[in-house]
Amino acid sequence: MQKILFFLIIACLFVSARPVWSGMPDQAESEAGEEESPYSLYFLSHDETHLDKMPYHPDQAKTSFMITELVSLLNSREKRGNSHALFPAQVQISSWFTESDLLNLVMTQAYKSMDPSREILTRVGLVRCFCQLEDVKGLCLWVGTEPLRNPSGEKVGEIRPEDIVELWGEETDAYRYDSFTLYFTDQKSTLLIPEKRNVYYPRSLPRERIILEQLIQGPVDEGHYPTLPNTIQINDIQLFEGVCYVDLSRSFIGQALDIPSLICVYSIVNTLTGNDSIQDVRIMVDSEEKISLNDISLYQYFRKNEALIGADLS
Amino acid sequence: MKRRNGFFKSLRFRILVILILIGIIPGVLAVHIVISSYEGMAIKVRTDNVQKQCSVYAGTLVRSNFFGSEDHSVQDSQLQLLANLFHGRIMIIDRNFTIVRDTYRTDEGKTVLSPLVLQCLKGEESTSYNRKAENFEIAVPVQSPESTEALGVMLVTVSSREVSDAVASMEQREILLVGIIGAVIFLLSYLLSTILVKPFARVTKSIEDLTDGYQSGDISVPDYTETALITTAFNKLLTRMKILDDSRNEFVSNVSHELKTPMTSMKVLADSLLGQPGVPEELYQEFLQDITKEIDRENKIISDLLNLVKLDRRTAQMNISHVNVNELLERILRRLTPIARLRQIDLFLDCFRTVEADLDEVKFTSAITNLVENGIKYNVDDGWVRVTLNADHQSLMIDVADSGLGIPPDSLERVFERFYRVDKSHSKEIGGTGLGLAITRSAVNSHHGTITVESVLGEGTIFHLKIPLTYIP
Repeated sequence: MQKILFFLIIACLFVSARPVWSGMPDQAESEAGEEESPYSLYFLSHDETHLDKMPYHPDQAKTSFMITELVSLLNSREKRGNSHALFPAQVQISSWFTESDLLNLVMTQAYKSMDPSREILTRVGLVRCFCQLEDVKGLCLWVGTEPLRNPSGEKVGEIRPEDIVELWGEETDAYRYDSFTLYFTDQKSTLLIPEKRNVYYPRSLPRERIILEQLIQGPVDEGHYPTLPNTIQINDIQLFEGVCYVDLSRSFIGQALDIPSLICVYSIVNTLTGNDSIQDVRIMVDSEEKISLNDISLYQYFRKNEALIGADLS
Repeated sequence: MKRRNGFFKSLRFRILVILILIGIIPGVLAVHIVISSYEGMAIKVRTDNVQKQCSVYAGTLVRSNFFGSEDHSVQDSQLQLLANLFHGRIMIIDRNFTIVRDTYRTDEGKTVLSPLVLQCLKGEESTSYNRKAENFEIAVPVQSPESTEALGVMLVTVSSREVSDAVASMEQREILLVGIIGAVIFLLSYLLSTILVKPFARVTKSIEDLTDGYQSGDISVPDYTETALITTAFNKLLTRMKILDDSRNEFVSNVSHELKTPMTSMKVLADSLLGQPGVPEELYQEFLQDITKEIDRENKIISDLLNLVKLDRRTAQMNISHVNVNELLERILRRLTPIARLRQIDLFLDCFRTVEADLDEVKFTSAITNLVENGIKYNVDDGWVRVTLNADHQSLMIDVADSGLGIPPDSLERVFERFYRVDKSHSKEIGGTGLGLAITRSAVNSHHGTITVESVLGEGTIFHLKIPLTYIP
């Protein structure tokens, strides 16, 4: 009897675990079966707070063909799943024309009477739909013969995808792409050598932090040598009125590399002041201000030192 | 393998598992609940705090006509300070969804699409917690008390790393703690399970000692009610076995005695013939007749014993048929009438109704014959034996009453035993083997019936028989 009960419990567990189990291969199958499309259609989420992305398979990859198809798809106000169509009733694209890499869309008059929050969703949706096409880099919206104006009455003008920030959770747009100049040193540790780096990082983190983290990680290019021990933790980094306050962990002093302190400090200072908004840099160690790295006192405002910068020989 | 199986099936293993589960599962659950509720609460406290400060500052922005003027240097510093204080990022967004100010300075002038901002411009304050990115976002409307429409939105992103760090360290401690508690509970349950099952081992040991012969008499393990019950039941079994053993011994000795008696007589008779030479032929004749009688008696005893053994192996040899009991009783009594007449004893048969039943005719006949014969043997001259037949819808009842000597009360219980004799001194004159009533009882029992006896010394005896009308094997 007890054995039967035991097996029953095991069986129950097994059965309840099965959906999780079998769910994964199913998903993989559907993804494999449906060829990954580089294009997407955008819909309004059911609560009208964000956009939903659905795969879109054009018959031809020609830009003019796809614009026509997208226009008719959007005008048809077709729904998909839980999502609403991008356009409310009566809003339509009445015509379109291109000017170099700019696509002009002429909307019906009803577009003007849309609620501002509904309008912004539609506007972003249009940009996302059309700017994925190869030859379309920006969008210009017209209502009738008038250019589109925002609620304050100003002309919206041309909209490019990079001018739009989508801030919500899992969207890839919550990441940004940036390039920085980092300063490492040469073999003899006499000069600072610039190194360009492109980084893809979460928007929720401050730029300065990312730059400094990259600097601590060390150089990638050959012939460049690190200036900081990679065990350093960034306790805090703050920007106020043009001054960047950096709070580093104690390994900045304790495990300093065998290079001149000047090079070490100015690799941080020159890297951070590469950005226009930062003029001065203050360095602290575990919130302590009056501290020095070997012969250099850190209790001062550091400015960019151009004299230390050498040419990137590689 | 067998031994391991035995361990997993043992009570001890079960107690061990139950104790461990009961000990650890609630602990783990409680810790998880506490940690997750701490996380929620910490986030809420921090969100509330930031939201309050931002609402205050949003009011200041409206009063200093932020969206109207061009010079924002004062507010920029203030915003930066506030953002530094929260370890976060503040964005000011106007009604056109354009980012006017960004303390990270990376997205100024761009158009923003955020569910929080949309909700906020509709008039709801909104927050969202993004666990993966370790931050939470708060949108506070920038709105003057006089107007119903918000001028803009203050969108604050605050790092929740402090909370998640605290949660992570708590979780680490949890793992350590659960580990320690688990180890302690394991040890304790191991000890407890060992102690708890000990009395059962003692019961087994006592019984084994008893079977091996180290110990005699009753066993007693009073630690638990259960073990006490087991030992009591076992002791009862022991007592019953002892009684069986005793009765077997008595039976063997009775049989030997009964078989020996005729032999002794024969031996004496034969010896006395051989001992004196020139014995007259009449004496030979007489002694040999006596020897023949003894042989007959021996024969009778042996056939009765065989009969009894056969009856004990009952169900297999039951030969059931549908019988008219009235006619059967009449036949039995008619057969016994000659013996009764020798002592002027009258036999009566009273039938209250016609009774038909499923019976083994041979066994039933021997049972009734024995009873009536006894009634005749142990009777006074000119006495009577009365057989009464009655039945209800389930059973038939037969009473065999006599006007005889009666049975003394202290022997009433034992008359059905094999070889039991009420009056041992007269047994030889009356004859019989001492097995008659034992055979009767066996025969009645094999029909699932009962037999009882009542008697008054010097007045007579009544045997009551009750046998089911239908036989169920």
